[in-house]
Amino acid sequence: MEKVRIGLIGLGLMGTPHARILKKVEECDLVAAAEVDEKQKKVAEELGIKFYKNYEEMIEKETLQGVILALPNHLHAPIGIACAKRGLHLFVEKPIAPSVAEADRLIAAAKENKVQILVGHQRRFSSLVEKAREIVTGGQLGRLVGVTITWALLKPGSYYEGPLSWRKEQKGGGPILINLIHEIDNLRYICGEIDEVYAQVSNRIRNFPVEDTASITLRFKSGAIGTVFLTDCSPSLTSWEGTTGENPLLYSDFGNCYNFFGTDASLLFPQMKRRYYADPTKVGWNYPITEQGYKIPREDPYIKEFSHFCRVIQGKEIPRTSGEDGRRTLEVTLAIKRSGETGQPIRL
Amino acid sequence: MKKVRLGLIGMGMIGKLHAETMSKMKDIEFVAASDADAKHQKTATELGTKFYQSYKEMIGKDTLDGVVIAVPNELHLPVGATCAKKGLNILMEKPIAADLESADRLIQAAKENKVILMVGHHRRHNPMIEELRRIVRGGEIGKLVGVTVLWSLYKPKDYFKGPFAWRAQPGGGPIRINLIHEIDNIRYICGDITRLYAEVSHEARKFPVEDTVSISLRIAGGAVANIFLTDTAPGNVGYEANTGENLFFYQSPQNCYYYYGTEGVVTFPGMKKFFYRDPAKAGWQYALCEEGIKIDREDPYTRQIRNFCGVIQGTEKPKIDGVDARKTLEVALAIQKSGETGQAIVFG
Ligand SMILES: NC(=O)c1ccc[n+]([C@@H]2O[C@H](COP(=O)([O-])OP(=O)(O)OC[C@H]3O[C@@H](n4cnc5c(N)ncnc54)[C@H](O)[C@@H]3O)[C@@H](O)[C@H]2O)c1
Ligand SMILES: NC(=O)c1ccc[n+]([C@@H]2O[C@H](COP(=O)([O-])OP(=O)(O)OC[C@H]3O[C@@H](n4cnc5c(N)ncnc54)[C@H](O)[C@@H]3O)[C@@H](O)[C@H]2O)c1
Repeated sequence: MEKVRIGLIGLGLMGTPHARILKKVEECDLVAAAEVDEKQKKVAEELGIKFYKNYEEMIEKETLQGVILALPNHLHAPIGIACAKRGLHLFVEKPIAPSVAEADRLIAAAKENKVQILVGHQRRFSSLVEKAREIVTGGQLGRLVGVTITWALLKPGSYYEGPLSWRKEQKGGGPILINLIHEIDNLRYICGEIDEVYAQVSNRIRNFPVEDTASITLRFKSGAIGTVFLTDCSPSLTSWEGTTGENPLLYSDFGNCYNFFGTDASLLFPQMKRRYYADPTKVGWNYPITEQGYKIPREDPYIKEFSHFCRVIQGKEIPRTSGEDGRRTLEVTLAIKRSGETGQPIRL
Repeated sequence: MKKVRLGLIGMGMIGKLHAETMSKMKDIEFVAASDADAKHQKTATELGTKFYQSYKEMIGKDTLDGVVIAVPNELHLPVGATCAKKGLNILMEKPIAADLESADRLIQAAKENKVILMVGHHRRHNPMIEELRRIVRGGEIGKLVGVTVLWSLYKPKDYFKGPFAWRAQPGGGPIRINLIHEIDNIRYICGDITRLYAEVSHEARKFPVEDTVSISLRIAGGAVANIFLTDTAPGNVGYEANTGENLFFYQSPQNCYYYYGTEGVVTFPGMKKFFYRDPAKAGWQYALCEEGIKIDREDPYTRQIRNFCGVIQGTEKPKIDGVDARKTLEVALAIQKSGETGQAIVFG
């Protein structure tokens, strides 16, 4: 079968490693990249792909089937729509857009032009998440009653400095929009739809316009409930980044950051330990609890994600994170932010 | 110094434990015990103390300095007020009373009769909890950022059966019975609670009372906290399952509390402190340092009675008096209310 012809737009922090990974994806033929910053031409040269300063020129001149958008959030919709009009399938980095209204515009354009959207929530391709989803949705915990998530770590001062100082601004910055959105997407993927959120948000440690800490409650459509504790200013490894080892640039102790609780068993994640009472006549807090482990293959989620995108373009698979799905994750995340501001729970 | 003369009212589940504790303490006089149910005569005899079926007869006939009261919650006020009128100092089991109005009347009765009213939130007497309080309040982990509390113990079916059916009815339930201890711990370690929101669910057991609760709190000073509690999932994580305080509960070596500060994190009951040693290498890309906290273990129930005696002798202050315990009850009831109304609750 012929390879899928892909173009990449944006060779920044995310786009540059994406370009390198795309070269490794079997189904993919990375044809060209577009980036307004000409300094990044060297990346294209290194990878032996064409470079354009102007993405419009790229999509006009090259015969492409799909594009990867690794652009600042506010450009996702406008550039995404322009590409959709050319009949190009869209891989859009998360969040799908900065607002739900813009996400809607992008989704509508994709529909009109009959192209697919895949939103870049790469954790859905983590083999740990895939397994957790299989365990929860497959009923191996019984009825899910609750879930707890901790995302606690210390971002170094440099994270918010210099050209990255936008991260402390309300418009697109802050750990809720940048980081928590991944936790929310994981939760939605593993446990189902979230329809109520409440958050207490605080910026009293860093004193930035954006939050540094949040304590959140959730209610799922299924009736399960949950808590999320989030802080980026405490020396802790109890977070996705500090426990899964999926980001090679960050330190990980391979501990746990999520707990899933069901009526028949609970699951410690990402250690993937399922705990249950093995003897049905000895069920309760005074009896020994049995622990079962799972063998999980270590795979690169990005490679899986991009090869999925190629198969979506070939019509072999449907997007694991569709535009609507990415929009809902954004909507829930924005509701958490709003609840933190108003002090009121929000029903979605 | 003269030995303190104590009596006990109520010899059920917790009363029996108090009886055993007091009978072992050489420096007090465990004068008598009473229970409306004559079957407890046997325990009294075994422990070498007098038995009365009527507590009124006991407090009328015997010369006592104080009484430990471990009767059902609705009786805390009538029994407590009767003892106060007799001029007896009181160690009342938690919660202080069945509702806030009864708590107020009991506090008033103690005040009018100039007797001590101490409340049996025994965890405050656990040296590990005291150490945690010292660490947090002493600034050893910097500014407190947040707290997470987990409590997932599976209650067996017979916990709710026969004479214990009340536990599944309004007035029972894990918020009043179990969660109240978690609230009291947070209050003792960190300070008062200023705002809260709770998601409350009874969908797994389908009892009139809740089985699962997820909470977001704000603590005076600005830190936030999450509590997740369920009594219907095999998690075996929670104070009783992890501290080894009561070996009736199967023990797992897990942490149920994390205290997150700007300079360090403390886990409980693992009693480990995590921090970055080198400020130039502080952040998510670096390994964390780990330090054990040394604690001498001591039985909190014995220390509680000892504190009660010290207060009677005028050499100590109560770890928790009536007014303090009323606040703990107020928060627990507010959690229930928040769950029912779907509203956040702010404390004046
Ligand atoms: N999935 C994840 O875990 C993850 C992680 C980080 C960032 N992201 C997302 O990736 C996207 C990009 O983030 P980033 O950190 O790489 O930002 P970045 O600022 O480093 O990169 C964006 C790049 O786009 C370029 N650009 C801007 N306008 C352009 C245009 N009209 N044509 C071509 N190039 C243009 C910029 O010059 C820049 O190099 C964001 O949506 C972000 O949310 C996702
Ligand atoms: N601190 C803790 O960890 C802890 C643990 C369990 C219970 N408690 C508290 O202790 C109290 C008792 O709980 P329990 O679980 O032991 O209940 P229980 O039902 O096992 O015991 C109550 C006892 O009081 C007796 N009683 C009832 N009316 C009496 C009267 N008028 N005079 C004398 N005795 C009378 C009953 O016969 C029974 O033996 C409750 O307030 C409960 O909340 C505290």
